[in-house]
Amino acid sequence: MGRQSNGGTGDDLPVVRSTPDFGAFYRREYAAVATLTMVLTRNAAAAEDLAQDAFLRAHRDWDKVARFENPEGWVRRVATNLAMSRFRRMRAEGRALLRLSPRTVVDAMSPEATEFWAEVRRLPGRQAQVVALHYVEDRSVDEIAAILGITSGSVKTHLHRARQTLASRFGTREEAP
Amino acid sequence: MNSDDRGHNAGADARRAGAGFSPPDLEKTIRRRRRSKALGVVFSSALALLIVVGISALFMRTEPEVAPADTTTTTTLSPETTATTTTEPAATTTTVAVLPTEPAYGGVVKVASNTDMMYGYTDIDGTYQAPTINPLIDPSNAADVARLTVPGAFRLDPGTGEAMPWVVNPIPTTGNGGVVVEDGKATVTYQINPEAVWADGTPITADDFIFTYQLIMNDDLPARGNLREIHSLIDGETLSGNGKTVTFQLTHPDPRYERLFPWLVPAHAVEAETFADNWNDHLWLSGGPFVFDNYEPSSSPDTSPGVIYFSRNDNYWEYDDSGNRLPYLDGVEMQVFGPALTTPTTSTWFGTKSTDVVLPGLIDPFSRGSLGDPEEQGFVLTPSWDSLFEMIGFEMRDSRFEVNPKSLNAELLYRQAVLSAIDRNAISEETGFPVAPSIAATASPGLDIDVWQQYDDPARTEDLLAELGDAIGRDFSTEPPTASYTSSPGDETIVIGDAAAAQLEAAGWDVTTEYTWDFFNINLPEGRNDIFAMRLFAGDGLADLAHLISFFDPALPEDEIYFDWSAVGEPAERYAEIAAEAQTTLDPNRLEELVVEAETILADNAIVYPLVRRQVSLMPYWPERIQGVIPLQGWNTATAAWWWSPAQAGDASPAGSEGN
Repeated sequence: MGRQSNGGTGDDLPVVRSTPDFGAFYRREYAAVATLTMVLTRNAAAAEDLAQDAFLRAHRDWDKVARFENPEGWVRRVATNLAMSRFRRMRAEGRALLRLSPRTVVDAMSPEATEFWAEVRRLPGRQAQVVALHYVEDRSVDEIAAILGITSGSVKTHLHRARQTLASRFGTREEAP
Repeated sequence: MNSDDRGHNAGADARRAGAGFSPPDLEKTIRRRRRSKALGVVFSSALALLIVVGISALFMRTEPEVAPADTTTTTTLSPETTATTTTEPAATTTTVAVLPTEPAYGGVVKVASNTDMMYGYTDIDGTYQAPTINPLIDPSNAADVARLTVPGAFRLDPGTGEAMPWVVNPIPTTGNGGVVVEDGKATVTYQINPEAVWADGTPITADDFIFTYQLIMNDDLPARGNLREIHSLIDGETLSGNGKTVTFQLTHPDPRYERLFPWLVPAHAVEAETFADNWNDHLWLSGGPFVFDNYEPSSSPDTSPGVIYFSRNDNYWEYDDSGNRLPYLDGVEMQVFGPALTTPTTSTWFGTKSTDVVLPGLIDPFSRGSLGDPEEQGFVLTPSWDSLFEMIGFEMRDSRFEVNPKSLNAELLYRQAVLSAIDRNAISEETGFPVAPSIAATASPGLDIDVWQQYDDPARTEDLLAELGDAIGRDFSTEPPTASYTSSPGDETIVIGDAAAAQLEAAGWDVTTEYTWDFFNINLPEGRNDIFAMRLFAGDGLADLAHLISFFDPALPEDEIYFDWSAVGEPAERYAEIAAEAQTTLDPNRLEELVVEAETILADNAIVYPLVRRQVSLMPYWPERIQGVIPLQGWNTATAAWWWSPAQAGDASPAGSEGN
């Protein structure tokens, strides 16, 4: 029928927007969000905890979050913010210590990638978030701005400074993108 | 390759690696976290660490100490010393004024807090909370802020980890008649400090305890899991009181009864119906040294904090050792940041003296370089140790043979040889972490158990191996012992693991190491290696030690056991008996006996080996701006009544500050 009704059968009844299915959202976005938190924490177990925290929040407020223009961006913002919090990472790692249940095996990254993300984690928090969203998810400047709730100009600044820092650490020259 | 190409390659690599993530059942995730909380009774300390930490420096502290001032132009400040902190060498600043050397009244200090007022919290039970400074809802987040105004029944002595009097005085024990055990039922009686009052002058009474209990146990209110868990020790039907006396029965004897009521809510000033919603950005009527004034949120909290303003509680009811009314300070400005605050940003904030002290939790010790040199700049950098410690253990199940078919873990002499070969003093030097003298002493620094020193002699290794070789008919000089060592791949655990492996190799072992994020999910539960290393929270004091014993209990049910050493036989059986008794022992003397016997069994049978304590954070402060702050993870502001500011000290005492 292409749309849902409020229980009637006639096309003259008002259209009611349904709440998108959280389960589908969760299954679709989980791996990507966990990947973001993994590169920002380096700890796969903690990354999964942080990703789950972010989705738990979305689940809790799904009636509201689902109606956001960009719930995918919202959950990334929450997850990457959580990942940048040292204190929260420590707590997540503590939880990982306590959990002894089977879980996903995550393939190790190449040494080059490992080295790259190690340097990213040393960047100021916002720069690290921008770099993760840009390189892991190929997000545009405008998309990153929308996710993080900052201006596109700010994203460009953070990305530029991050590239400069990374270039200096890797002994390469930063080139204009 | 430029950084952009490198970034795209690393991003693609991360995507490939991240493709291995699959979403767990969310409902199961919630349930598992709840279950892990229940399982984690043994880890009450791991969780309680964040809400219940002691204070007694105020009881055992030296006075905030200022070295004799140079009467010309230089004032040299020495940081205070306490039983639980180590400080950097004395910091020297050049000032014109001669600063006071004794605690004095006056001043407002700025404190950078770990409290996060931006994104709220998701705790171990998997439930989401809004950002809040209500300590009954989120004590681990709110503690630094709330402890300025919210009193508790007790404090913990950071020197021993034991409960000390606060609102309840004395701490009830079997020895003083405050706890009576009859027919297996324990009855606890609180005597409330007769001087304890709320800021409006209303006495703190039994009504407040009963009201607080009802709040915590109310299913409609989101009190945090571990608060509710510990208060489930109270048989609610028996909780009663009159004036300054409270009495209740425990549902079962449990040494953690001393940790009840770490926060108190004034019954006459708070409505239960609105409790969950009303106290997220301000605090109820104070019973602590300060009163809440107002909260100014920040629009960019990851770089510039919101500020919560507190001023002196003129009705505060505690006095210092000289009989002077507390607190010393006129006020405190608690700076609260967002979750993305980084150590470099914090360092800049501190370096510009925008704050007087950065409480633990904001400075990552591995990024300490961003703070600069304390001696050059004149600040003091105090490490924040907690009861986290690194240990190794031996896998006893047959599964270990899959990785190391030649594992000799079943042999006591072999295990003792391994522990002798591992030089934890050298590991301490390499990591900068102090040796953990014992598991018990890690939780209760005053409890010295001299049972591990037998392994602090690497020269014994050769003799032990020779004796073992004779016993099993093996010549280790031609057939070296082999070991497979595993841990998680954290920076510190790798350093420790590599050091231990090198020491074993130097003693003649063939060693393989495996560091994997699946350590806690596969290697440990499935027993994939024969030596494992991990870190544990020991907790605070005997009460937590009683439950930590359970972590090593080989008789736990299959789905709760952490590692199984029942193959050792009689010592394991005795250990299980001790663990069971310790859970229900209220007599501290008996509890200490059990703790000592349990650790002696672990040591003499070489089941595990505590290596080093872990530093969790750093606390920098400007000594001319603030004195008396004692870093206690999770309860850093518990000494706020004794804080004072040399640079702001006034001549006059506040009204009513004369001795009692």
